[in-house]
Amino acid sequence: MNWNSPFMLTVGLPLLKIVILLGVVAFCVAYTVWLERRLLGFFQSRVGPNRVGPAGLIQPIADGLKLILKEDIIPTNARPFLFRIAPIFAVVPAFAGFAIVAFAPPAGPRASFLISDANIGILYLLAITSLGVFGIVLGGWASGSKYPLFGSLRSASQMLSYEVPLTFSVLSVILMAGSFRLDDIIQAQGKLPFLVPLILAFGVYVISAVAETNRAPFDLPEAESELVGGFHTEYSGMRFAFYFLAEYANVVLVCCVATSLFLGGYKIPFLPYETLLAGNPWLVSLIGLAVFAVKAVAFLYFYIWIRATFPRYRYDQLLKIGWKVLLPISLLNLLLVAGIKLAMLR
Amino acid sequence: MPGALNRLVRMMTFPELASGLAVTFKWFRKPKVTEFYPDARPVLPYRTKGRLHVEIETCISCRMCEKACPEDCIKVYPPPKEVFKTDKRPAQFYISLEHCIHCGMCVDPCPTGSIHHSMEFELATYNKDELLFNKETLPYDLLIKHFRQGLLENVEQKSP
Amino acid sequence: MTEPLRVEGTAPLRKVLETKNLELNFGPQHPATHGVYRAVLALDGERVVGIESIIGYLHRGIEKWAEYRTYTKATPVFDRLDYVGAILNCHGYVGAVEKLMKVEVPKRAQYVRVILDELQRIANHLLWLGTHALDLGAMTVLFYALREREVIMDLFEAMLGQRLLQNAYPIGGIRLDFPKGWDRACRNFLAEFPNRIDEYETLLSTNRIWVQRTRGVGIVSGEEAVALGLSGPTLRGSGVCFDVRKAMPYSSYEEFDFEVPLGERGDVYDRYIVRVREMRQSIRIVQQALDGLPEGPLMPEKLSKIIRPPAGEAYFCVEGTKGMLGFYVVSDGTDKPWRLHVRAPSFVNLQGLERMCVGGLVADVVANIGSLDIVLGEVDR
Repeated sequence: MNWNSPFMLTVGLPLLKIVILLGVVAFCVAYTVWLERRLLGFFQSRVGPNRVGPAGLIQPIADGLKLILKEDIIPTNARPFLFRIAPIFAVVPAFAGFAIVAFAPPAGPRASFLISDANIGILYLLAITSLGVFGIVLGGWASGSKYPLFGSLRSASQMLSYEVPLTFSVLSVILMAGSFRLDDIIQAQGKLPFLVPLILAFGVYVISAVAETNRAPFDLPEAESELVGGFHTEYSGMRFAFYFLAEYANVVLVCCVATSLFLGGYKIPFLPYETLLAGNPWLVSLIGLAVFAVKAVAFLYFYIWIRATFPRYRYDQLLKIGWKVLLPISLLNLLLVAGIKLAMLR
Repeated sequence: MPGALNRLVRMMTFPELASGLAVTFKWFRKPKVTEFYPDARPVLPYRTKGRLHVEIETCISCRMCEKACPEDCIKVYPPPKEVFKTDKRPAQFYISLEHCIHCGMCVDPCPTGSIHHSMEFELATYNKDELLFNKETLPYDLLIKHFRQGLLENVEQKSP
Repeated sequence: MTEPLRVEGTAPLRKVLETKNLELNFGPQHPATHGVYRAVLALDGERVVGIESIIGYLHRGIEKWAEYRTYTKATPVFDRLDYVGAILNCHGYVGAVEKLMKVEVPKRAQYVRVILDELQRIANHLLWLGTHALDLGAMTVLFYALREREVIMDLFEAMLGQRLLQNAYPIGGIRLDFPKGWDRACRNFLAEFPNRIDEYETLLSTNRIWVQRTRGVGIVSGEEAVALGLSGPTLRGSGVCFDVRKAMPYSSYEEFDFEVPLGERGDVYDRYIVRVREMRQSIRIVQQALDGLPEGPLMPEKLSKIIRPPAGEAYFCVEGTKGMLGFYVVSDGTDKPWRLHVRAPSFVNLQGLERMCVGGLVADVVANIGSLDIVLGEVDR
């Protein structure tokens, strides 16, 4: 097999990467669930899942099996076609977003750790993640039940409101880095992660990201004490598993993006291990991957910590925060960054 | 103005949210309180009202427990009159744990202390008939010796 | 100009665009209704314009049931009214019968009853705090609260043999004295518990999300609260100082020094803070009772084994965990009550729900139900 043929370079290699990435991401997502349950347990002074396998490590597999084997119920009032495809609408964008995440420095000209080195990577990401709301809205509407309808309505307005401050906070990162490519953004953070100069944008990003992924304290669309299960009340079995997968894939994606945008990706500040180990590109890549993973998991830990601590906002309060607090702050931040950038150019 | 500034600073720096995070983190580091029940057997206090246990040998068939039971789950059959003069042990003794609410009201009036609660608490069965205990099955109480040693240490250990 | 399309005898076309309210079935299998309570909400968007309570899913006919049992045999069933505050129910019933028979409960028994009552109140408020916080999304508080409640349960188990439905008091006094070491275990708990309350308050009382969720939600003014017949912490949250333990002292409550915490605005936050402060006051009461525990008999000397009160009637109320818990017993001189009625605070407090919810959002309904602290076993009886 000729790895250098144009066909392999344009189709074969990306396809192979996609398959590997899908597998790895699905695995990571499953173990994110495990990690969350385990950490939540620790925060709540209990132990979390611990019966299946050592430290409950086989629990995600058991859960997945259970969900696959369950009966697939379609309620009488549901619109069957939309009901069936809605979970797919939710899960596809969540996974597609991973295409432009640079997990590690490239180990060679053809051995990069990202599927598509798109020069508008971050725009693609914003576009594709906002598609995820369709799955939720469709699912809630197609269920033909009132609680899911409420959940999907909440979700639609929530995602719309928080998309704006999120985008503005990302824009300030783009201004700082001067590029839409995620790899360029990471390279620009070689000395100092953007977390420090863009602390405001980081704050806005964290809050909006939590809201975007429908997680506590902004988990209104699936607030179990108000709307039972929110948009997935009527879902069961495999389709529910799809929603579940989509939610946690979004969480992992947000962690990865936050790592790339604000925490310096695979870079370690003041330790240019890439130039020190320049002769050994695979080792560099592996270290990069590990650094990236550590940062992403640290962010994930924070995510879960917040969930373990805070109560849930109310629907109107959530929108108020989005439009009246986060949006002005992110705009102000954007102006500030732009002004500083302009002054530096002069 | 300083008040407003103070409020703004407090609003932007989340001091009270941070202290909440500190509380959860404190318990994150501490040992967990989960009891691994089927693996680790609980040590129950002496007064635990578990399954009713009857010493048939000391029972005098006075039927006080039967009268005291609010759920009517006890049924005592005294022996025939000629036997009763010499041997007061009941001819048959039924307790339906299906109906027993473990209130302990049969224990109070018993003149000989024959009926009392054991510490056996795992009473689930696959068959309802197994919950009807009779003269043969009622004294069957292996667990009681095992648990009697525990007494109150359990409570003292667990209090914070 | 043509007239708007209109068929004879029908409404004009414009009428078609009018919206109507959405009816939402809230319960009986809803996670936030604390049991099998069902509310039919009329919603305009997310705003509640009407609420209709439907109860009775847990009706067991306890009052009637008691009329077919002797006075003694009826005791354990009242644990099943408010099953998270069982000891107080038992105290209410037993107290009513004692009042009917004019039995003087020995001093030591009274003190022991106060100790157990107040521990039960703490246990109930802990469970309430956990579930209320869970309803509003703060799930960790539930586990912390249950962890502390577990210690009280262990104390109950050591003293009474049961954890939840203890059948605590016989008519006339108490069954058994404290077991060895109970006093120390209880004091250990009381010494540590205020720190844990501080932790809950750190997680909730000052938390901006909690304050925003509860401040100004479900306001009931003092006059309205009295008019609706609310009682207990729900009433005191509205700033009305009425506590049966102070107003009509029973079981030697007049000998203890404690405060009655009051709210100011009558919103969910006030009802929350009143209960949290009540836990602190309960600790004080238990400590005083443990310190001043008198020696003496546990049961009155002259009490026949068969309870046969003279013909007459008696009403006895205790400050239950949810409010004023009253038992009305009518005796015709036999060994069974002729008529028995329970004034269940949860049932009466539920009346306030409509006043609290209408005009609020769906999420506020959850907060309001949580702040009422209803237990459906007591509502439906």
